Amino acid sequence: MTDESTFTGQDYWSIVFRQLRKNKLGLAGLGVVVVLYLFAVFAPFLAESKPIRLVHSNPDDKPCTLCKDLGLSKKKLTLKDGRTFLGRIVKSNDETIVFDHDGVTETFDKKTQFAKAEDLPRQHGPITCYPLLSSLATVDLYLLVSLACILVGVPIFIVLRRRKWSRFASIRIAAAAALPILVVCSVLIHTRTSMLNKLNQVDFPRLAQKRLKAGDTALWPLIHHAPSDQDKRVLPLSKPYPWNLTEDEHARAVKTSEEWETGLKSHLLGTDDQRRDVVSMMTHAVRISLSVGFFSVFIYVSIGVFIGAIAGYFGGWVDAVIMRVIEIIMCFPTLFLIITILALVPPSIFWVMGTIAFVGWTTVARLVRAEFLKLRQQDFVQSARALGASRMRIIFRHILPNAVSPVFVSATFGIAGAILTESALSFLGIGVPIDQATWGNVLRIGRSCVETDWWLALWPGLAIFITVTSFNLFGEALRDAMDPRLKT
Amino acid sequence: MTESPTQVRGPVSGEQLKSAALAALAAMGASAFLAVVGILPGLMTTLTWVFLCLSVLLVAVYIIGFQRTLLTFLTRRMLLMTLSFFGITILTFTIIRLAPGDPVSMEVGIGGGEGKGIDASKLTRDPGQAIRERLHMVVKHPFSARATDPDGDPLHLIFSWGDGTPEAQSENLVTSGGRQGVEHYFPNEGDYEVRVRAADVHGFESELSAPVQIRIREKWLPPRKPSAPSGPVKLKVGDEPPYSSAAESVDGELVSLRFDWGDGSFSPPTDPAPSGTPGARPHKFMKSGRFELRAVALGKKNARSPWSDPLVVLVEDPNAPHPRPGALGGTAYVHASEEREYSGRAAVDADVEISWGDGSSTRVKPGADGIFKSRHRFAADGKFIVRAKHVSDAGASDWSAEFSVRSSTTNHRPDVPTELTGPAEGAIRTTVLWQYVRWIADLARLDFGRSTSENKDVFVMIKERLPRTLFLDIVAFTLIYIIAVPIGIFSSTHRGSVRDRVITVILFMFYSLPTFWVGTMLIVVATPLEGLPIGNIYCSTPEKHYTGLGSHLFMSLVVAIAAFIAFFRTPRTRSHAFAFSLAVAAPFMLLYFLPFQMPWARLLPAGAQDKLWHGVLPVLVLTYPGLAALSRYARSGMLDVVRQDYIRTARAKGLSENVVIFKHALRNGMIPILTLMATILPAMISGSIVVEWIFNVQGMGLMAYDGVTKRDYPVIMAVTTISALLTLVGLLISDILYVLVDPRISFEAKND
Repeated sequence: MTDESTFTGQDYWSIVFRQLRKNKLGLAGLGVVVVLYLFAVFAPFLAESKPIRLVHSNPDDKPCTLCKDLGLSKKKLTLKDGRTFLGRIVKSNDETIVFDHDGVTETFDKKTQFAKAEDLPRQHGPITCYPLLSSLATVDLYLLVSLACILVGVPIFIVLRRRKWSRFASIRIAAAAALPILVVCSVLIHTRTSMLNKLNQVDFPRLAQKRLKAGDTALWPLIHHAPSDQDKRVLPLSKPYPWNLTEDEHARAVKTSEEWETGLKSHLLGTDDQRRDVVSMMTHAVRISLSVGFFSVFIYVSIGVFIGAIAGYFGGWVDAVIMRVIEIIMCFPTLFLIITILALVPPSIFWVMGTIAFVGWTTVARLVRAEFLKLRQQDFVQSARALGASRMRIIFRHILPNAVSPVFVSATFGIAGAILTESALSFLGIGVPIDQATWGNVLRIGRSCVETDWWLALWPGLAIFITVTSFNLFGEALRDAMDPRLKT
Repeated sequence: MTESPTQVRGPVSGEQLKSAALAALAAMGASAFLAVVGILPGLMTTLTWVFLCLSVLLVAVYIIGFQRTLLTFLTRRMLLMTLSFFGITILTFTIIRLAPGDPVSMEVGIGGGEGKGIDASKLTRDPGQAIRERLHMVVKHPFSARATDPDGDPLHLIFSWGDGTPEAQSENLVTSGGRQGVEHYFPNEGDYEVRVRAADVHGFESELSAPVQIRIREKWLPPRKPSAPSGPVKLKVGDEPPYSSAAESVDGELVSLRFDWGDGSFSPPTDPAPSGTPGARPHKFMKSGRFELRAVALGKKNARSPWSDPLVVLVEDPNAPHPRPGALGGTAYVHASEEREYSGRAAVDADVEISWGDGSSTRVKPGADGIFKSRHRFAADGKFIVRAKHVSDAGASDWSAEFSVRSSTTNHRPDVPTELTGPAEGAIRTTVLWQYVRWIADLARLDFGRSTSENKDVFVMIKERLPRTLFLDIVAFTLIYIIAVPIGIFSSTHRGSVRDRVITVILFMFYSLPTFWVGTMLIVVATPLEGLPIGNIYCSTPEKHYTGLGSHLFMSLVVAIAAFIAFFRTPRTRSHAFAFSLAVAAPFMLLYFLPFQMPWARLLPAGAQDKLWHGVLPVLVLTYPGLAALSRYARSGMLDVVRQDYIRTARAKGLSENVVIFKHALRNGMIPILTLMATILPAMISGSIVVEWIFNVQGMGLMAYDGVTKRDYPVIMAVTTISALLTLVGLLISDILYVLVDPRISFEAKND
């Protein structure tokens, strides 16, 4: 039990933070969540079949196959009007020539427009390229940007708080610093040239399995497999490496040369039924789980706070109607409602988020309503009303800040719940596309072959368990800190 | 007991608690009975329902004995429940009916249209038609007509709809001069001409009546009639020329075209193109003959234009002398005194020989339009096969398809039906509201419809599957409460001790363990042990004795837990702990020792033990998450109470710890637990989807899953209804119990 007298003169949030810091289990939970978030952000750098950096020693005499693989062998196309393009000839016949420059395909008339096409002078010396960086998808980039925003915003907030700035001011300035990064980066992300995308067309899975020549150096991600790569070198459902070498299989390993064993060694937790690497799938699945958890909860907390505030503040028939609606949704078996909706729409992660949000807002709304009912007759509300504050101002500036602490707790548990729901849905094969790497999908594959290859079902379950436990631990810590009366 | 308990303050009086306990006991009894019946789907008869009603009545009488306001409370509660019920069903109904896409294939059999003499047998019947009719998704238009027969025979009315669907015959015979009707729905937009003809019991049919017009309109207007197909008109067999046509859209939507090649085949639709763009499809004619090509334009949502004017194409086969002419047409039922005209379409410009089937034949020349015709009188009674062939110097063709004419000297053909009436305008699809009203009306008769994916009566499916789910759920539910409450008491009385912390950590882990993973892992563990059967409760052979390693291990585990509980060293509550451990272990012991064929084991129905063993794993998976949540609540509920002043007072009075905890604290500490019933029930119904899926239990959960993935509307709605009802009844019970055990809350207060 904490000694209340030491906190005199401190405001509510300071007490909360101090209490939170004391709860070691809760902090451990938060730590795991942060690590998971980093996993989500850096998933491509952890498991991808493209090298991060590739230096290719380029012998002058022979055409460089790797260069062709990388799409680097280009031609220079000169038109009669003097314009030149760099790119590749896609198709050519007597009349026209189709030229692909930077992903834009254009057709030129040979007789009137076209002058000549020549090979670019072959590059001498080593070629350095960054296949992974140049092929990052929009989602990857946004996750990196979110990390950047946090890395900028949180230190600013902490520094300002140390200098005794007010909390609201610190939050505002931190947000003001982070927001431009978000805006600029999203503009950049959406206007980046399609040139980068072209590198995606290279058959990198094959490249990853090809031994590089002497003199090539490549900086690989930790795991050389993308979650969707099917490694043809190994069998479907191959076990984690050392297990696999039973006598029978050893004989096979000797027969089929070292390629097989190299393949096996590269799959730390084995492969699934389509020869995909389990570690890679598990790593990339963190993103789905976390984003479903965070975004669905974000949506439903927003809805719930708004509706709950309105019901609690206005009372009367508004409250009655809203409460009836909430009761209706609450006595619905949630998973069944979600499955019903998701089975009728195309499989997509966004529908999953939206549907979880649709059934989830009721809890938050009830919490906020209860707080509002308690607070709306308080003196500070009466005085705000007497000062002529508008309704919306009273609701959102005066009452709401005092009513959100149970919402934070509920949201933390809600994230755990949403992650569980998403996994259960993937496990049933509903909602998230079935070929996407999620824990539930891996678990479903594991369920289908549980009699023989039970280890496949083990990993995703552990991952879900750890994630959910961390969120629950942090939620408990938060609840204990925010409302010591509930501490048990 | 007549006084209202609203005035009572403080701990609950013993009298009320006794009543509440009795009421709860009665409810439990009903549940237990259901659980037993659940093992025996064959017994799920009226008996169950009678018993259920009786127990509910019992509960009600007991409560009314001392709580007069209960009736008002119940009435209001019922109103709210009805509201909730309609809310839930309307929500689901709207979601599933408004979802994009049609569960039934929208591809309506193409061809025909406007009754232009296209053979009805060529048309494919829309497979989804019956389903859509059953779901009240289509508007039915009533048509009726009056028919008379000169001989006074009973008659059938045969309606031809002109929309390409098969003709419909009225179900019952109508006496001559009577009126009869048939309902029909039109699958497409357009103007249709409905005609009717009469057929008497001898099979003699009248001519078609004059048509009535009906205009079917939907939101999406059909395109205008396309131009007649254009392309080569003289071909050889095996040529594959493209034919093109163009249509204009009325509402500016894209238009695609389909061609009827006239030889019984239809082209796939062209890609949707802006209004007025010509669309073309090639076709290979494999037979020689004269074919009529028509085009139809399809707008948005398959809104279909009228068929275009025909393009007549002559396909010649240089190798065969002559193609056979088209089948004859004309009056198929004649009185022996009548002379009628019969006609057909010639395939080439050559003479045609018509064989009348009565030995005579006629030779005619086709007209300039390719039609040959001739008049004939069938003098005798009987059925005559009329056919034709081309004859010329080069040789003769094959006989054309047969056309049969029936002639009679005694029986006259029915008169052409009169007074054909029907609506002048109509729609294709009904509104969702109408569908919902019809669904409710069906529900009132306990008619859940037929499953569209399995073609079984949904009510029968439910009767078969609900007991299985209820069995698992009720057992798990009871276990949750039996185990969670003592754990909560123990944790709260030993707060902060090592054992409390161990229990808390274990329960916390339970709370975060995903059910579907635990289920899968249990299968992993149970498979090699061969004692705990995995899933498929209702499909295995009974009479199998479960004495494998798994069952021994499982029993050892149960006994170990029970022993662990029994020897918790709590100075004053040991006897309770011992009793509790016995209570937990006893049913499992029973289960375990049943195989030894004790005499009383025969009291149980055959296969019951098998089913119980099968239920072990699913029940385990259903139990632990609820257990984790509930015991945490029980612990905090008890902690809240133990801190109260009246507990301190009780202790100060020198009461024994047993009395303090079990008499004073427990009654008040368990109030929040009762309200949790409201959240546990829907959660268990949700949970049973996953559990039944993992263990392949053919219960409601799996039925719901299958129904949803197969878009089986009646099944989805039935499952929604049942689970909503179960949840609402559970809520009601928890409300009543809540008021009974906590006199501070009265029914009056609850009413407001």
